[in-house]
Amino acid sequence: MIRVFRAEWRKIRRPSLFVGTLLAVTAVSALFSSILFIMLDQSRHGPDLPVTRAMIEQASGLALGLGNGGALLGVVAFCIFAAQIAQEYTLGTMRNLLVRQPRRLTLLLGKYLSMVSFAALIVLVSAVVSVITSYIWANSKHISTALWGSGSAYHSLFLTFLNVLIATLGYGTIGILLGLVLRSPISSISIGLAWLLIVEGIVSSVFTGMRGWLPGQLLAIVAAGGDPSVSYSRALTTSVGFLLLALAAISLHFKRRDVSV
Amino acid sequence: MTTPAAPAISVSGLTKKYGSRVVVDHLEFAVPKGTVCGFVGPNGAGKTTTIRMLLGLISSTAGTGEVLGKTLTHPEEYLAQVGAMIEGPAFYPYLSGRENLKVLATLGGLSHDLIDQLLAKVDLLGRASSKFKTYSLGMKQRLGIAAALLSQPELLILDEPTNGLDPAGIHEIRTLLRGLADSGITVFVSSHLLIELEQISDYLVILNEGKLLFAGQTNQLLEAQRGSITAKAEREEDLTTLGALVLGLGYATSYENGVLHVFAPADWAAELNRIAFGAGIVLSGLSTSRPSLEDTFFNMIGGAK
Repeated sequence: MIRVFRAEWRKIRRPSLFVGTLLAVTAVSALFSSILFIMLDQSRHGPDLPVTRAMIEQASGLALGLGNGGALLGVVAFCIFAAQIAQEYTLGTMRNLLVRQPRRLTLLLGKYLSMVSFAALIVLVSAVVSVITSYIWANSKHISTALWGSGSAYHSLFLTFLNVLIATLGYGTIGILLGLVLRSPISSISIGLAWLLIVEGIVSSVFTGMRGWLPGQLLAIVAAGGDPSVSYSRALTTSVGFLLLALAAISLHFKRRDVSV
Repeated sequence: MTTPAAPAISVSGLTKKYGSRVVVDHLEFAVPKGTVCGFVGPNGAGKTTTIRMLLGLISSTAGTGEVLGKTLTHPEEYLAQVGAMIEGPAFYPYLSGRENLKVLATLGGLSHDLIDQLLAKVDLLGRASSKFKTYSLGMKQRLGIAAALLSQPELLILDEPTNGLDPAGIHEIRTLLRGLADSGITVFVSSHLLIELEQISDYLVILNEGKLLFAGQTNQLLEAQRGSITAKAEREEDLTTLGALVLGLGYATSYENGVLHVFAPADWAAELNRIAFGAGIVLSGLSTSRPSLEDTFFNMIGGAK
C-alpha cells in the first residue's frame, strides 16, 4: 500500500495540480477570511450579520475564517478525488495500475490515502492562510487579538481544522464514489456538484426536515461545527455513517467490476 | 526422458459472456514457454477480452486457466512476472515518459535503475523528459513496450504492439520480440500484421467470433495448407500435356499466362519434374510456393463463416 501511496504522489505533485491547487486554496482562504472582516464594517447597516466584532475578539474568533471557507475546501476535494480516480478510466491507465498492483483493495486504499493526505495538506494550508489573514485584518481594523494566543483559541482552531478536514474528506469520498461509478471526470464532477450544490439546496429548503439526511448538507454542518437545525453530534454521526457506507460500496464495486476500458 | 515444461499460458473452456452475448467461447489452448505466440483474429474475435481475462482485469464467466502455473483467479500470484500492454499504450499525458515509468516502477516495487536502460532500448532516451502528450504514436507505442518490460517479465503479453509504427519501427519490435523469446521469455502477441507474425511466431492461436480456430505450431499450420507448384515449359504448348498427366494423378491444376499451377505439396515438385522429363517435356522453370499466414488466415476465417 505504501508503494501505491508513493506512486500516486508522483502524479499529485505535478505543478499543475499541486501548486495550482495550493495557490487557489491560498487565494480562496484569504478571500473567505477577509470577507468576515469586510462585512464587519457593514454591521452598522445590517442587524442580521452572523459575525460580530465581539465574536471575532473571542478565542474562537481565530478559527472563524477557516470555518467560513470549509465547505469550499470540500468542493475542491470533491473535484480532485473524482477527477483523480475517473481519469484512470478515461486515460486507460487503470489497467496498467491493476497489472502492477492486482490487489484491488490495496490499490484503492493506497490511492485513497494519498488523496486524503493531499486533502489534509489543503486544509492545513487553508488554516495557516486563514490565521495569517485574520491577524492582518484584525491589526488593520483594530480588533483585539489578546485571546487568540490562548490555549482555548488553539483548541478551537484545532477542532475547526478537524471538522473541516472531516467534511473535506467526506466530499472527497463522494467524489471517489462518483468517479468509480461514472468513470468520467466531467460526468462525475458535473453530476456531483449539481447534486451537492443545487439539488440538495433546493430539497433542504423545500423539505426542511430533510437537511439532516442529505450528505452534502450534513458535511457542511460538520464543517461549520453545528447548525441550529441539526446538532453537530447528529451531523457527525450521520455523516460518518454515510461515509462508511460509501467506502463499503466503493470497495465492493471496485473489487468486483470488470475493467474493460 | 524429459518432462515437457509447463505451459506459460493454458486455458480450458474459458468463456466470457456479457448478458446473452458470448464474446469468448470455450477456449482451449496452451502456449509453450519460451516461444513467441501470435494471437490472431479479426476485430471483435475476442482477443482483447481473452487478454484481459489472462491479466485479471475481467472475470471469466466459465472455464479455468493458468498463467505461469498459477490460476487465473489469483492474478496477484503471477502478475509480478508478467509484462503487458493492452489495447495500446495508456499513460498520463501530463507526465514525461520517464516519470510515467517511475509511477509504474514505484507501484510494482521495481527498481528505477532499469528505466533509462529500457528507454534506450526502445530509442526514447532522448525524449525521456518530454511529456507523454507530445509523443508521436510510434513513440507512445515504444513507451508501452518499455513499460511492459519494466518488471523483467517471464511472460510478455502485448496487444497490437506495432500499431502506428513505421516499417523500421516494426522491424525493430520484431527483432526485439524474437530476441526476448530467444532469451527464454514467452511472448504472447496479438497483431493484425500477419506477415510480421508469420516471421516471428513459433506458435499461433487463432480466434474468430470468440471461438478457437487453431492453436499449435506455426509450421504445423502452414505445412498443412495446400501449397502449389508452378511450372514453365520450354515449349508453352507442352504444358497442356503436362497438365493432363498431373490431373490424371489426382492433382488440380490451373493454366494461365504460360504458367501451369499444380496444387500439390511442395515436395512433389521433384516428381513433377520427373513426369515432365518422362513425357519429353523440358521445363524451363519450376518453383514451389507455400500459402502465407495471411492466406491461411483468410481461408480459415472464410471457412468459419
